[in-house]
Amino acid sequence: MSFKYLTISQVKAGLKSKEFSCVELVNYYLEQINRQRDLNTFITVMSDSALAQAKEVDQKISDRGPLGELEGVPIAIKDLILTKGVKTTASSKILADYIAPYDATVVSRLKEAGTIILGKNNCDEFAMGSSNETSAFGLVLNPWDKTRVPGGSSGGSAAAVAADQCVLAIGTDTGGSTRQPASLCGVVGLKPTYGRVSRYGLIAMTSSLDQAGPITRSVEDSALVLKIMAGQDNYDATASVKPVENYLAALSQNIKGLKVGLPKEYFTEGISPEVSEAVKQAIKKIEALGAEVVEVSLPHTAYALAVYYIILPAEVSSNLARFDGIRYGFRSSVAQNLSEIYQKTKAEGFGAEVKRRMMIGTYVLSAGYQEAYYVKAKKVQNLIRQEYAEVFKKVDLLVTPTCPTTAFKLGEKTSDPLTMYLNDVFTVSANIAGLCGISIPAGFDRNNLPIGLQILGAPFAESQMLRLAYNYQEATEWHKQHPL
Amino acid sequence: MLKTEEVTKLAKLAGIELTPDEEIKFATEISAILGFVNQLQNIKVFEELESNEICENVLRTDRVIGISSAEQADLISQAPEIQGNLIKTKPVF
Repeated sequence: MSFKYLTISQVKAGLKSKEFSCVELVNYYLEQINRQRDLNTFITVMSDSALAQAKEVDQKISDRGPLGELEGVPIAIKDLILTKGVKTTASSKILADYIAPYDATVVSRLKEAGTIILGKNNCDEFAMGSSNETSAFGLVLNPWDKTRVPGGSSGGSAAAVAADQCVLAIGTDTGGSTRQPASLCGVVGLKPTYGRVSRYGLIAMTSSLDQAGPITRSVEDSALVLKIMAGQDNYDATASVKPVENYLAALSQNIKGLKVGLPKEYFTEGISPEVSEAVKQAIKKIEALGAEVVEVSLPHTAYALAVYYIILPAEVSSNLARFDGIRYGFRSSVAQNLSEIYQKTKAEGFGAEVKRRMMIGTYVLSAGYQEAYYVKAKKVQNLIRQEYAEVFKKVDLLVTPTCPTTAFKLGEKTSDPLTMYLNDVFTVSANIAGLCGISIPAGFDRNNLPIGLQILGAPFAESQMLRLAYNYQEATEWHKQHPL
Repeated sequence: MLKTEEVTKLAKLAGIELTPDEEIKFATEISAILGFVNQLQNIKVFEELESNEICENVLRTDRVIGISSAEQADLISQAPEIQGNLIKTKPVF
C-alpha cells in the first residue's frame, strides 16, 4: 500500500475499508516530516497527540462508531493560528514559548470534523513576508528546488503539502499568503471571501483583510475543507451569517456558458514570459471547456499594492502594540522600568520586517499624515472595490497569473523590501476588494518550477470559483506532478 | 528621504528601541516604501470617505460567559513574571 499523495477521499476510503490503519497513516506522515527535516516546514511536531488520536480513530472504526466528515485525516496548521495547549509562535521570538490557551474557531471546527493535527507550520514572522524568510525559526526550502523560497507567508504550509508531509494544511491570506506559496510550490491555495471564515484565534495582522484558507493537493479537497471552516461564529462579528454552500456538490457541473474575464492590467511588464505563456495556454483550455473568455479592464487595480502597503502597516502598528512584554510572550531581561519593557521587548522580540511595518503604520496614522496616507488609501480601496463590483456584473469570474514569476532564489529579494512586496502584485487585489481567490497548478517553467493560475470570484462566489478550478484541474495533469 | 531623527521619533512613537545601524537602514527603506505608496496622491477620489464594507457586523447578546479558575490560572501563567496570582511588572519610573 502506498500512502503517497493521498487525497481526503482516498484517506477516508482506505480507513473505512481497513486497507490501512490511522496509526499507519499518521506514522507515514511523521516519517515524511522527519525524513525531510531540512525543509524546515514545521516549528512544532505533535507526534504523541497525533498517534494517540490515531489509535482512537482506529478504535472508532472497529467499533463502527459515528465518524466525522474528515475523520482521521492528518493535517497541519500554520503557526499563526491558535491551537489549545500547543505552542503557537507566529514564527516570532516574541511568542517563542507561547502556549495557546484556546483553539481558533477554524481549528475547533476541523477537530470536530475528526482531523488529526500533526503540527504547526513555519511561516513568515506574524505573516509578514512573501518568502518565509522573515521567520525567527529559519528558512523553509521549496521542495521543488531547495535553493529557492517556498513563497510566503504560509510557506511552511505549502511546502509541507507539496512534500507530502500531511494531507492538507491551513494557512492564512492577508495579501496572497495562501495563494502565492501554493503557486510557488505547485499546490492549491484558497483565500475565502472576507467574512466567509471566522478570524477568531488567528493572531491578528491586518484585521480588515485576514482570512484563513486551505492549502491542498486538489480542488475537491479545498472545497471539502472550506465547507467545514466556513460559517458564522459568535466570536467574530465579521464572520458572515450567509449560509455555507455545499462547495463539493458545485464541482460536478461543467463550465459551459460561464463568462470569464481577463483583466488586461494583469498581463503587463514584470511578468515572466513563461508564466504569461502558461496562463495563456490555461485560458485556451478554459475556452475549450466551454467558457466564454472576454478581456476586461480594472484601471485602478495597479494601485491595490500601494493601498495595501498603507492599510496593512496601519493595522499592524495597532495590532502588534499588544506585544508589550507584560501579560504574555517574551520580555526583555534588561529593562529597568515600564517604558523600557515596552521598547526593549519589541527591540529584542521582533524581526526587521515587523519593526519596519510597525513604524510605517505609525507614520501613516500620525496626526500630520493620516489624511494623506491612511484616509486616502481607504478611499482608493473603495474605488477598487467598486471597479471589481462593476466588472463582476459583466463576467462571472476573473482569471490571472497568481505571481509574476516562479519561485525565486533564497536571499534574492531580502535586501530590498520593496522588490519583495512587488511579488504580491497580483494577489493583493482580492483582499483589498474583499473577493475570493484560488491558485491552482497550471504548468512548469524550464527549471521545472510550478506556475500558478489564479481565479478570482465576486464576494461569496466560492462555489463558482471552485467549479472553474475543478473543471480546469480535471482537464489537465499539472496537479499530479510532485517534487522528487 | 526621512532623516534619522525622524526615524528615531517614529520608533519612539511605535514603542520600539532601535540601534543606530537600524535607524540608518530604516530611514532608507521606509523612505523607499513611502515613495512607492505616494503614487496614490495622483488619484482623484471623492471628498468623503464612504463606507463600502462588504461585511456587516453580526452581533450576539452581550453577556458575560466567564472562565474557570483553571483557565484563569492558565492565562496568568503565560505572563513573563508572576507573584502569587498577580502579573508582575517593573516600576513606571
